[in-house]
Amino acid sequence: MSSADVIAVLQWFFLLYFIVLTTVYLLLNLSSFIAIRRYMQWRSVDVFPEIFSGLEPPVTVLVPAHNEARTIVASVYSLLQLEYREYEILVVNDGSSDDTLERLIGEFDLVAYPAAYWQGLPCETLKAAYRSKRYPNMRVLDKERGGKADALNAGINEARYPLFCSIDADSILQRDSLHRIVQPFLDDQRTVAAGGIVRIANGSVVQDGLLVDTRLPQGTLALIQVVEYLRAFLFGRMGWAPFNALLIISGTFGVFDRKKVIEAGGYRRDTVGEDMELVLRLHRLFRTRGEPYRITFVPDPVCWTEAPERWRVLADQRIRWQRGLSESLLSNLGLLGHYRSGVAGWVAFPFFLIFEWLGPLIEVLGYFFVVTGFAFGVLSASALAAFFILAIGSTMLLSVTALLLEEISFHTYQGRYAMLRLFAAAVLENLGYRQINSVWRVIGLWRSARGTPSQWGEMTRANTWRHRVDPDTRRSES
Amino acid sequence: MTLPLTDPMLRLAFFIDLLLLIVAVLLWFEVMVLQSLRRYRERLDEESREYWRPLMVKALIESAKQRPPVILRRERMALLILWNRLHESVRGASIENLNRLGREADLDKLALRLLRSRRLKWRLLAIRTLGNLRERDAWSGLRKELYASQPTSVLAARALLQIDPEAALPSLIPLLCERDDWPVAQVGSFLREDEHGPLVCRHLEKALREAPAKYLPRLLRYVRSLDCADMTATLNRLLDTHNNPNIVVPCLRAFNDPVARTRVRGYLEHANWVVRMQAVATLGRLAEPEDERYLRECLADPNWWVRYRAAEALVDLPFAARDKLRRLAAEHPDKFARDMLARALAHAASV
Repeated sequence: MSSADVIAVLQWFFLLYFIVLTTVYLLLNLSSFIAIRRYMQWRSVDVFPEIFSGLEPPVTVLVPAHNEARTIVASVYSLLQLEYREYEILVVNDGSSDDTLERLIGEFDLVAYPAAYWQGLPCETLKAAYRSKRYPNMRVLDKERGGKADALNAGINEARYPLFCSIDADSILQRDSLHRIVQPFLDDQRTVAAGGIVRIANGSVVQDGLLVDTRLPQGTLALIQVVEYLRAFLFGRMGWAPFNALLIISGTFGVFDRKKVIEAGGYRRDTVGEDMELVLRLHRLFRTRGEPYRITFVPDPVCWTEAPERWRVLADQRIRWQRGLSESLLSNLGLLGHYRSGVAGWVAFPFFLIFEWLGPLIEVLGYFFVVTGFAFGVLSASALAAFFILAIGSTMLLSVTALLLEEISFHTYQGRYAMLRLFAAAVLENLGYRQINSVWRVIGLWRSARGTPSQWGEMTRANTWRHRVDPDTRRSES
Repeated sequence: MTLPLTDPMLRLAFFIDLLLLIVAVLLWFEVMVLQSLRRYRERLDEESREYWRPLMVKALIESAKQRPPVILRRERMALLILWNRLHESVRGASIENLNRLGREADLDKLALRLLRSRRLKWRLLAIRTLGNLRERDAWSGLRKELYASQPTSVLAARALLQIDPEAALPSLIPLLCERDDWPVAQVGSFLREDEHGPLVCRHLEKALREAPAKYLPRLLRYVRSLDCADMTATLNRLLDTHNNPNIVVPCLRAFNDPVARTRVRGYLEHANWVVRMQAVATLGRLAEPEDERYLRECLADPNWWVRYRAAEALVDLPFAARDKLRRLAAEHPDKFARDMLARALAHAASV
């Protein structure tokens, strides 16, 4: 095979890769479009009469917290304001070295109580359990450091209710978030897990710990992430849900059937992608058993989170996510191609392997190939241009379809120029951001392959939503 | 070696690039157009609601003295949603007045037409409206919707029950068994509506006697949801003939007559811990003072969950003296029992 043949083969390979990737994403788009339209038709006509409200099952909201002294009090206050029939808040202090626990004890009037702890799922030693004298539905577990998954397992062990909701300490919910995300469990008793859309909180206004006004962030980096999240959730997740092939429920906000998760063995503690790994394992467990189940997605924007506004922090996050993806997929290969695994094992899993796991490597190699090929005169300027326009154009198209889905569904961003800004971000994303992201993901892949120990690292929070909780009035100060 | 633009691969790549960019730009324009249309529709809907709300609120209090205005096409959605919401938030004479207003505004004819619409949202609205109007002319159309997917079928079931419960139930009861996509909690709530509960319970009792075993767990969930009275004999018969925990547990859960306590106590030592746990929970709910000692014995059960339920049940007993329970938590010979009771007492103290 001559070098010209090799170059031609590689060119065709990269061209086909982008075409196939874009086609599959567009099909996911179509699936999401149909699902979201149907869902919005129910919502727009207020389908269920008033008598159907108040039937929601009770939920334990698990809040794993490690060194969250700055934000934990505000987070708990926001959770206390949720409008839901019956729920409890269970904060799991995971070996914090700052004064997270002390702040909780002081603010919420906590007293120790005898735990009679059920150690069904593996976790580090529980040091003490506290209940609030002022808020009967709030408790705190204090334990040895074990990581987020470990903290969640401890919380699941101690949870009182049949459903639990996993949430990050800095997640911001809306008053009816729990009410919305629990609906799949009411609609279909086979439901074992449900996720919701996570949006970017940067630039929005939060009062008393709840989101009251949605705004786009000012910074370009955060604005680009808004578009990314829209893509990832509106069709990246919603597209798979109708086929019961949703492989990820974000750890930022998801609700699970406690009994089923215990049956599956809880969260794995040796991975940074514990959220995805659990969902994959639930699929594997129920599919291989041939037991009916459903893992689904609620397209409502139910949870808001702060996106990194610094490159260093963003890099750490993306490297960690790719590691988590790698660890989750490789430890659940039993789902791939199993004769009972259905769409989850025969379509979704290979898709994730090829386009999400290996995809960044193929993209980076593609960029490397065309740039060095051009530099050495092997590829023409037109070939270089064609490749880049293809890479940029396909992502732009996908971003715009996400904006279309956003407009036909929740049109969250109401400002006059909001869509214009998002469109500009969708274009800008492809002029460096996406490429750097691919490099970070390749680093994550490399570290996973080398077996470098996983760690969460520290998220530097800018807290650009303007709130502090006044301890006397417990009202926000803008 | 460089590839010229005449190369077919390059030409294909550029063609695809152009197509992608054109489609992306067109889609973006579509987004802007949809946004403008949506804002226009929202304004119209708000105007419709502002116009019709006072008329409907007035109709709740008194019969209309003149015929209501004609409904404009663009007002239909907002009007139907508003009318149904109001309808489901009032009782008694207000419902009759609202129904009268609805018929005078030809909502019944509109809803009958919309029941045949191809658009899901119109059909859903139509079903809900026809049920609230108790519109008999919709009977056959609604019966067809019983076999549609969720939520259409659930709404149709509710509508039929609202129109004529005696005629609807023979069709609905088999569906309660077969439709495992019907959410029990929601269906149970409309089965209880308008005081249909006792009638539904009679039909459920008949179904429990005649249905195959595989449908019993689901039927029993409805029995529990409706808190059916006079089921004790039927539940006892089921327990006499079934040993499967999938049937025993829902039977125990469905007991609501203190007369059943003796039967329930017989399951406190069952081999299956889920059965024991449910027996404890049910006994706690129905308990008389002499049952307290049985619950105390369950505090020493080898299974954590049985002990947990026993502790919760004891603490919730209205006649159990807290001092006595605190002493028990301090002095019980079984350490696990002491821990569990102390925990339950601590939780009760915080509520």
